[in-house]
Amino acid sequence: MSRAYRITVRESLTREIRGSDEIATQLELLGVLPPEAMAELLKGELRGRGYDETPNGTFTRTDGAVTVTVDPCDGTVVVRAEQEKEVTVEKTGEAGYFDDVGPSEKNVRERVAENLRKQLAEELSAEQKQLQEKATAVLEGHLADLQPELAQIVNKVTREALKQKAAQLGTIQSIHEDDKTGDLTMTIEV
Amino acid sequence: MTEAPFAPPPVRSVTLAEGHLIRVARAIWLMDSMELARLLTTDRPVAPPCLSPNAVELLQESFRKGFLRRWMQDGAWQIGTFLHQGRPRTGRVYEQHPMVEHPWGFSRNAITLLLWLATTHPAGPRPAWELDPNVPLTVADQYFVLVVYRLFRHHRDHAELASFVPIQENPWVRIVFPADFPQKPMPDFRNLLQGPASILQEGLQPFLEKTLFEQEHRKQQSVSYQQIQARGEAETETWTTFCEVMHRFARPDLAQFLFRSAGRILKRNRQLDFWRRGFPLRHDLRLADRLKIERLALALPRMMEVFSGWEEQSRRVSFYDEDYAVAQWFLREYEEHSGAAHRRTLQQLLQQLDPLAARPLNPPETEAL
Repeated sequence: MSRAYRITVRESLTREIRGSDEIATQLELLGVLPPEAMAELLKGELRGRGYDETPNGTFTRTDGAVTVTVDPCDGTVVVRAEQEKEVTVEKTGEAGYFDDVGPSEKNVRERVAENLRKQLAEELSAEQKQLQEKATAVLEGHLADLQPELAQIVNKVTREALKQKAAQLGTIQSIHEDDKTGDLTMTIEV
Repeated sequence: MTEAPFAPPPVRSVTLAEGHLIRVARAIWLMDSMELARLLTTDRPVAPPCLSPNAVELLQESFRKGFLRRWMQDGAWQIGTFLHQGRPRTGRVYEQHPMVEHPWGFSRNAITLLLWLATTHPAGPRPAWELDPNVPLTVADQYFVLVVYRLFRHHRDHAELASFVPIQENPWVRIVFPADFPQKPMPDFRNLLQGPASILQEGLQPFLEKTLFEQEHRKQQSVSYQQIQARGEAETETWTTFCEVMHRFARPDLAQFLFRSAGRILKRNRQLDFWRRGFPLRHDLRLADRLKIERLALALPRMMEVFSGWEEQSRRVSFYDEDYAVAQWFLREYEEHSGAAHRRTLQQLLQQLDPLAARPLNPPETEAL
């Protein structure tokens, strides 16, 4: 006599998932002074704003999940947002089998487990996508604050460079600076 | 003295299949897509094992007349300035180059392509169009390939045509339709630099300029991000390679169409909205990928960066340098067609794309006291 059985299979997956996004831009520094001198001015400005020098010569600052890296040699700025978390997903599946006909318990168990693993992988993929979107949202949110800061850095470095250039040309008689508009007026006696 | 009486041309007899072939050849050269559709939707005859002398003569006449007519319609009648041995010369292409001095003939390869298009194979499916290994493609054959490809681009035979190696290696097909051949090896654009190919290329400038401009307008239709990326990459690679070759061999005149079409499209569309119109509204892409794709969508206008580089190099060429006349010609072309203004427009577009674009609040002004 044939007997029906019902089995329950439980599968779980634990993964560390990461989502990241980054953009790069170039600081438009005018060549008022030689590139080495402009790089030095930029380094000084970056140090003053909390950027740390790394062994490879770049400057980085981490604001939460966002890392800003500036290469003072060529003015490249890379902004990178990273998100990571450990995710555990679990699923339970059930199936029935007969002890005398059809697939054996082992086969049924394997089939259910395989199905569950596929579903878990899809769930992880969805989680990964969400994390990716979160990283993009964090990056986009940070850009709004970073853009004016970069503009200020460029402006400050350019003004300093102009002052040094003016001092090379002659004697500076007067300097008027407007921090709001960024205007700089200098009178030089050559 | 009496004039010779008018003698009508002799009536030549051809078989039905040969007649069909001749009609298809004429429709192709006339680019009569309606007639071609009619001819090719009816039952295609079986390819004749050989052509009669009458058919060969009529086909030769159709190709000879069709070629010249199509080339003129593609713009060869227009007056242009081109470099000849490093010196600019202005005029119509066929006035600058005595046509009889160059071999304009078609080889049997053109006829085999025509047979492939117009007939069926007696033993079932048509075999791929392959070149006769002993007969190289002539320049006229290459132009025929371009005309055929233009005409059949929306035809059911298109996919098969695009898979043929001689079509993938055709420089004109690749310049006009780069996105149809992603990741295929680049054709040798040096073939366009000399002899009849360079003459044909000079005459094709108006066609190339018009086609690229129109395609750029048409392509702003809604497509997927993947398509925009694949197209942008293929366009950038093809046109950059082409420009490199033309620049290296001091023939910037043969790339006029690219400079002018990029300028025209920038002049007409100064706002980023035009380039983004038709983009799918998907926010699940990484910002990095989104920006990369948006830059790739500007493949044609971004060619202006290449020409701006040429302009800077040309300014450094002194009057005692070998390429002085070439450099001066390019500077004149750049100025006449507002290259500097187009470059500024492009820079503004690219800055709009860059969410972090940082620059001095006010560019410095110096005032002499």
